[in-house]
Amino acid sequence: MLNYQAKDPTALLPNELLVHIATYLDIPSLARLERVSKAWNALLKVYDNRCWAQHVEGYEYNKELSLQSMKAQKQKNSIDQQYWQPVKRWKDFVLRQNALAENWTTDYPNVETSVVGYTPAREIDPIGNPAPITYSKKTGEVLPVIHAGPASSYVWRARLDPAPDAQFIITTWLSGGVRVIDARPDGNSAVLWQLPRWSVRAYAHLEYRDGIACWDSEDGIEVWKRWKLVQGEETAEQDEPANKRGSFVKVGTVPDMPGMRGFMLNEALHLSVVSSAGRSCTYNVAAAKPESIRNFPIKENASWVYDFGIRRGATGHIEHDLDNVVFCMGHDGYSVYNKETATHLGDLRFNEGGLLTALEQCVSTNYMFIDFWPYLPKRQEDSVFRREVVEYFESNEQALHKLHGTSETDESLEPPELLPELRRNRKPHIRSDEWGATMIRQLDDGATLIVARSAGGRFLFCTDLLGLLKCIEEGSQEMLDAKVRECLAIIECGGTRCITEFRSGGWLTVHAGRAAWEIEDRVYIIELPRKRNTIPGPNTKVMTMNGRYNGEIVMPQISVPASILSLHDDCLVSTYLHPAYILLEGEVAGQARWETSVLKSVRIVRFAPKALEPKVQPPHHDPSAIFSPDYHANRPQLGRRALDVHQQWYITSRLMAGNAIRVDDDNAIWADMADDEEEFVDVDDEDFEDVDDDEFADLQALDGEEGEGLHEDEIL
Amino acid sequence: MVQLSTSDNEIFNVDRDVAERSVLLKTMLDDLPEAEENPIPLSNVSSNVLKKVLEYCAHHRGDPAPPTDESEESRKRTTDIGDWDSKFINVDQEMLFEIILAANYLDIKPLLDVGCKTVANMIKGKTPEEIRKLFNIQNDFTQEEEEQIKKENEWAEDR
Repeated sequence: MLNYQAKDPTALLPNELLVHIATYLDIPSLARLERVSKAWNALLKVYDNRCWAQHVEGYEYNKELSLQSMKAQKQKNSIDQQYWQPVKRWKDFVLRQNALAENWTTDYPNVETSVVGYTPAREIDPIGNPAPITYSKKTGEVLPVIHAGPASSYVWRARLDPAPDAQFIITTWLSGGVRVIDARPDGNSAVLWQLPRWSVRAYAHLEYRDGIACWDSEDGIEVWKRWKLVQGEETAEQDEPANKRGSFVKVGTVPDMPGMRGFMLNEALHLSVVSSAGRSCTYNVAAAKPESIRNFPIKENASWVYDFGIRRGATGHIEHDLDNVVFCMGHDGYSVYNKETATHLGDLRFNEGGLLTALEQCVSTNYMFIDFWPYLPKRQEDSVFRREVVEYFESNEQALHKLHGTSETDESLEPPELLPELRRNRKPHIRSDEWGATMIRQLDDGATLIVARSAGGRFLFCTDLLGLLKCIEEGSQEMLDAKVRECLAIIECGGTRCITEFRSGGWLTVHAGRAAWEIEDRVYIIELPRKRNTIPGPNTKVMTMNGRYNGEIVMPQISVPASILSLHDDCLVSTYLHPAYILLEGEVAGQARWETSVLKSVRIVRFAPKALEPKVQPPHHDPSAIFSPDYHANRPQLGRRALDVHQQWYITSRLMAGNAIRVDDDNAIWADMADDEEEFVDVDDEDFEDVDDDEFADLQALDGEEGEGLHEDEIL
Repeated sequence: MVQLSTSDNEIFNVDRDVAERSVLLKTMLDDLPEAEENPIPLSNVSSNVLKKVLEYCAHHRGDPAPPTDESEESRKRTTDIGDWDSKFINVDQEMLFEIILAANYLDIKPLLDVGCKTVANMIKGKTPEEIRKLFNIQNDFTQEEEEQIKKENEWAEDR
């Protein structure tokens, strides 16, 4: 019997029972209990594996896994190795795992951002050509000049390998060449290994996975392997440069295919190629060895070659797992084939037929709307909400009322005025939308998950692709309606505006149960469902973050996302076009001389380093603020005026085309055209107020004549 | 019928299937047939506690035997308690701990779980100071030591 008088009853229980109690506690309670007394603290430490390990995700399924092996596995897939370094007991592991997972889903993640491949100052131009300097005629001051810069400073495709022995980014470049760049936080973006421009074509697409890199060339698709995979262990200090970390060796070439549109290396290291003529082949590139293979022998390796004979119209986006291949058909959605039999399993068409009918009927339940600030009523705090808004695509007043849940006679909640900018950029109806990148994954229960994104800013996923296809092919409309309701969801992303082209690259990526995609200057990240026939609940969070890099680089208003996006366990990798200052030597009239160049670099957003730090309070965010004059006044400016997104894109396209851009005294922006004429880019805000689509197109197409009187040559 | 004798020498007459909810008693009864004729001494359990424990056993006399597999330990722990059980376990703290000890001694796993879950639920959501107060625990950390742990656990505690 207990002597209970003013005693601690927990002190009288045997340890076994105290541990039994502790196994029922959640993580915060365990953490607080550690602080109660030395006895509890010691108990939780001694029984660490029973109290804490049960909170490790996946632990119950992998009982035999030791802490050391779990830690090693985490480090293998993490760019921030040191995040896992202090793990000495399960508690450390649990806290780090949970903190990281939470940082991925919070509205305001605490991240560290680094730009890899950004070469500051003069090194940007290897030839050393001085940029033209312009002086203001009025004041004699040096005017900022943005020039296209050497094409070598534009990264085209980039892939990160976070493995401890790799930690590099492999890149192809706009002007050709391959560079492997150190991605370690202290690596200073050093180039570890490279191929010259003449040996790798310009705009080469790059696929990379587990030490195998593929890029297109004149002959087909070249396959390269890490030196280490071919020659054994690599060491950092070797005389032979080929032996260094990041070195690659050519192991073969996949033969060219007439009209080749795209290729993709999947998790099983199978390379699939698709042609616009409707052909597709898959190769087992992991088996390639440098000695024996010059070209892949198609006939000898016949089991890896498929001829799907897909119908014409494949756009080049292709995705495959071990069983199935998905071809993107643009406006016609996606076409799915079985790999084994090359049979056509069905089409996901959103522009007509039963699937479209079903999708139009489930807007209130299966759609999520994100970043539709202009439409958000004040009382709606959440950035994610659902409404019966089929017709919002038309951007009419009725739709706004529907969105707000108000009636047209209800005066209390007046829908906000649509800005001209938004009027110009209507989101296309799903039936006229164009589809792009797609990915498929096996879920834990064997179902096939498909995710896809459209030009109109839609993100779609379905947690039972094969079941849905079967319904489309064989079922009645009622069955299809029910199936769509349970397994398909669409996330409508507003963005700052709704654009209708893949101007930002249209990237989509899936990794470790998360998907990320970019629309304009926003990156969206969502946790994907893990079971068949599940769609996100009403509380599902979609994290959005600014796609631009706002660090040391100037003029963030014209830095735009482009080219690549990839997710890893603890980071997000994307390429960014951004302007950067370049300081020139010497001074003019006591003023530092500088020029501005546009670079394209790789950005790594790392979620681990600050995950364990206390939460940061997000700055007060008023969704309607974007429409107040103050918002624009406080934005980073080029000169005095913030740039319209149209202008940003225009400038970007001009720069990409090699035209110089300059800014005059009045902050007007000029594009230096090839025919020695200048093009007036900037437009007064007032001019934008009421222009419609056609007028805007006219403004964009302003030629030299219309810009009469703006020809004075200021460039010395 | 089985006779049980408590630490304060009270004799309880119990149906055998009720008594057999306790793995300890079941083993005794299976191994020693004569145990049925003499009172079984339970020197660690007082009469008021045994009364409570038997109330539980009587209510759950028809329940299927709890699974004894290993996986139980590793599966995600839920602290949900059934309606009758939560009413049953709604007792003062002294009785709660007595029941846990008795359930442990008598080897009545489901009752032990109910007791431990109840204690866990008492701890959940409380600050360290509140937990100390709850169980009369002496804080034997120095202020520096406590600050140190608090700092280490900041992320986890602040949920």
